[in-house]
Amino acid sequence: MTSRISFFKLTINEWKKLGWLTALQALLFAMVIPLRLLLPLALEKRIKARSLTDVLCENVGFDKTLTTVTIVAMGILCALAVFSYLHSRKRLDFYYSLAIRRDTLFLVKYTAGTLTFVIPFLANQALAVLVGVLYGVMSAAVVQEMASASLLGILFFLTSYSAAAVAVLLTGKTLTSVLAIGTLSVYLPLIWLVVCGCQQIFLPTLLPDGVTYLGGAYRLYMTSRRLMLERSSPWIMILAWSPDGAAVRQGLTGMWPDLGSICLFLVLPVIMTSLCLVLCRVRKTEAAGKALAFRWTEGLIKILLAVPVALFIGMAVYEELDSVVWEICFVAAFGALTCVIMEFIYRWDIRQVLAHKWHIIVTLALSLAIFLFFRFDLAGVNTYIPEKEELAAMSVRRSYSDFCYYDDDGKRTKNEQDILRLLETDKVGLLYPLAEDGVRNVQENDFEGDYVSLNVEYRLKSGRMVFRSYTVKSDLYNKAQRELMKDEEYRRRYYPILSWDETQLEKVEEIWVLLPQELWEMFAQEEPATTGNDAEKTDDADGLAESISDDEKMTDGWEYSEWEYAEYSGSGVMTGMTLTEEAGRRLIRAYQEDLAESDGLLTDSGSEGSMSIEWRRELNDPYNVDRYLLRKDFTRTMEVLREAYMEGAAREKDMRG
Amino acid sequence: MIEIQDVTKHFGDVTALNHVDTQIDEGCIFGLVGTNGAGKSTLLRVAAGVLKPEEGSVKVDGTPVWEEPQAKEKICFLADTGWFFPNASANTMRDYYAIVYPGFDRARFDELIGKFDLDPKRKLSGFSKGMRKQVAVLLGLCANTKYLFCDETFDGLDPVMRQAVKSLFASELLNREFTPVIASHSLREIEDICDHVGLLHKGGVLFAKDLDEMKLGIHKLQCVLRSPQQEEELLSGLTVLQHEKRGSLLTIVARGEREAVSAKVQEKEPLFFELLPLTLEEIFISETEVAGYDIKNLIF
Repeated sequence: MTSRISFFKLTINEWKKLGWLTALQALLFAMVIPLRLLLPLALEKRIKARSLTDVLCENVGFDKTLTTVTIVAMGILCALAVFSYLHSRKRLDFYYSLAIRRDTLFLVKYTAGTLTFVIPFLANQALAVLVGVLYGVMSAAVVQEMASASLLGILFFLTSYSAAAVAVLLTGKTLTSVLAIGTLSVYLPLIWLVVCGCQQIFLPTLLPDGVTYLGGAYRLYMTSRRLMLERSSPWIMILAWSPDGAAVRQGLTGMWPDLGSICLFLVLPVIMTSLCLVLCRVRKTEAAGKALAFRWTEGLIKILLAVPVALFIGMAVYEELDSVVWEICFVAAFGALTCVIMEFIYRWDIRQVLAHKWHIIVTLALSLAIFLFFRFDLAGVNTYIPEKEELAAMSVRRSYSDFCYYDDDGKRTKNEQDILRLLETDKVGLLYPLAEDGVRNVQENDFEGDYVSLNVEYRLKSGRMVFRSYTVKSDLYNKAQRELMKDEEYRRRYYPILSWDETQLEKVEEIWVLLPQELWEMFAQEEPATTGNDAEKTDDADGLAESISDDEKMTDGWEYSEWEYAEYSGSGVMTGMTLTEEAGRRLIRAYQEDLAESDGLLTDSGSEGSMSIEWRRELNDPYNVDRYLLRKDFTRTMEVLREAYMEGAAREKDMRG
Repeated sequence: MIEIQDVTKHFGDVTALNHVDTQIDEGCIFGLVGTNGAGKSTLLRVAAGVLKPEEGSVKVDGTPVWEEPQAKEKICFLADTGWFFPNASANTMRDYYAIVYPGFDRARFDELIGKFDLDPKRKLSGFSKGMRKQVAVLLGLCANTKYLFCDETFDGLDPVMRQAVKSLFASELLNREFTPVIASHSLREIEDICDHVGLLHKGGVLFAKDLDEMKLGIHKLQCVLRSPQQEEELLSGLTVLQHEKRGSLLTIVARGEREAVSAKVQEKEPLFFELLPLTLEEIFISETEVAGYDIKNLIF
């Protein structure tokens, strides 16, 4: 049976009662939309430093951080204000006695709250258009973008608003609603920190998916950053959102949010509002005034928060003290303390903080069990090594290797496990001692001498793959690697540059080289001859750059091949230069020859240099950058570099006159 | 008719209502009495559809009240902690009630608010507690619902206003289908308003009866007899609920028809005899003592 109460009339009445919220938002959005546009437009009109269209596009449209932050904040504030009736017994007695279902009442309130945002927000967007028109810079494209950005803003609001409404429905007090919103925002990053921390601190041999740098930490950081910023909560998803490739002048360049983002922000409010309606039905009236609306969640939430906090503290103490006794003490203390704080938030009564002792007991038991499980590697992850007889193939790769591997489509293979598959060899007897040494080192944790970090793949005869990351003695690794490099086919797989032909060389866009200062100084002892060309000689910096540019454009197909030295001195040791096309090709050919004749060991000791090769498969493809180490004993390579240096020095001498 | 069937409601570990079974007939003024914490407010909140009972159900004219607008539109609930919108005036509340109670009589409200000498444009937050109660009662009455639940609504009303409200209730009873249910912790407050009374104690209804029926069936008499033997015979001859002797004056509360009780006393040729009117308190004392409770510990 439907209610005879008019949904429309009730909504309008509820909205009128929220007049203060509408006024507040009208004021805030006036400041962040039309006023923020008006002031710089007025300023630019006077000083005429930039075009007014640029100023317009900088202040309206997609991806305006201040507007987005305000929308998110207003979504939370609206939810707290509009649904505060759920936290008041007086108001629930009044509203729930009315002849209207409680989910319908929720929708009435939800719609009224939405109106408090939509009306002032759209009104201020319209004012911004008016401001643009007054200054004669508004175009149809910009108006269209502003309309789309307004719709996206409404979706952002609904996402933030409905997510906060879920928090309000799950709690019985405004204070705990605010805490719930905060907790929902940081919980996933906290869990991620604990999981990654456990893995990196206690299971250093476990090779995570997609390791590229720093033994996996960098890759994990990148993953975590995406996780934390883009996935951990609806609010952060909004704040982390950015239109793909958007520029300042979206309205004119036609850059729009991708369809996936729009669908995501369409679906999220629907899901969360549906969840709200379900919660409305199951939520008890008597939940008003209690910390949490569902009593059974009290213990669960307490434990789910206290356990990661205790583990996090335990890991921090492990890193600082490395003492089992202290670690156990801190894990137990912080687990219990978190439980006590949570109980205080629930009851708001210091005498009842120990009311649910079993929560503390479960928290301590779980925290200590998980902590000790990882702390002592009870699963044997670090010490596991397959029997030699079980292995069909193995592969190893240094963790810090930066040269890249590509699939048949020219797409870079970023996943470390895929790369290790490319480097498999059946010479298990050569690589197995490395694994044994790695396991031994993890157990003994005593690293004296030179060690290298290796990623290892075991392919078992059963077809199972196991991946590990070890720290191994350098001489062991070098010995095994030298043996493997005797196989030319393996060497070509390990160093893809050895297979580069003329076709590949044509794809190279730029090469830049970093060498120790001492090598440059050695080159510099020779007096460079002049080039003899007619480049204009000038002391003016701009003229110099221009003359080089024109000169280079005449001689090669690369946009710029200006050489420069001493441009890189980040460490104070390395110096770099960018090569011309011809010199670059000569360098790669020389490097191929040197590498093919060498023992095949490229170790980044810091005393050698490196060359970075930037290339792309097709004109519109993204750039790939491969980095290869340079060795002093690569004589052909060094000769090419010397020549390139001398050419550059001669050209500069010519220009300086 | 409101049927409350086997309703049980817990708040955490506390049982607020324990298998409550009772019914409220149409056209009566039903008083719900009990001590603080007896479950009066909870029963009204369950009956108004505010709370969901863990067991049992409440039906209004045969329709379950929980989440059923058809049943709830017949009820207006005035909670003990009456709530008005922030900054609202009587007129603001009137407008809101007109939306949520489609049968709301605006003209009558405007008329009554004038008669009660309340300023309809003044903020209710500036009213005294009694004045806010008056506004609440007027809103409830003008909602024109068949049932009006008043939880401690008469607390704070002065005797004159109570009488005025009683008159309004009487007028409503005459003019339309109207059944007010009034919960109070004080028998004296509702004695002059209600004609049916239910007594709640520790979440259960001890009894619910017509007040006149109770008065007709119980009598208080005082007499002086000639000998203790006659007194013994009289006490054994009557259905005595209570008796007390002070000096030679014997006071008896007995159940039965007025004439029959009187005749039994006259048989003993008393030196002095009179029948006294019973207060609601005395009736309750007697009834609850029969039910095995010490009412003095329950209510007073």
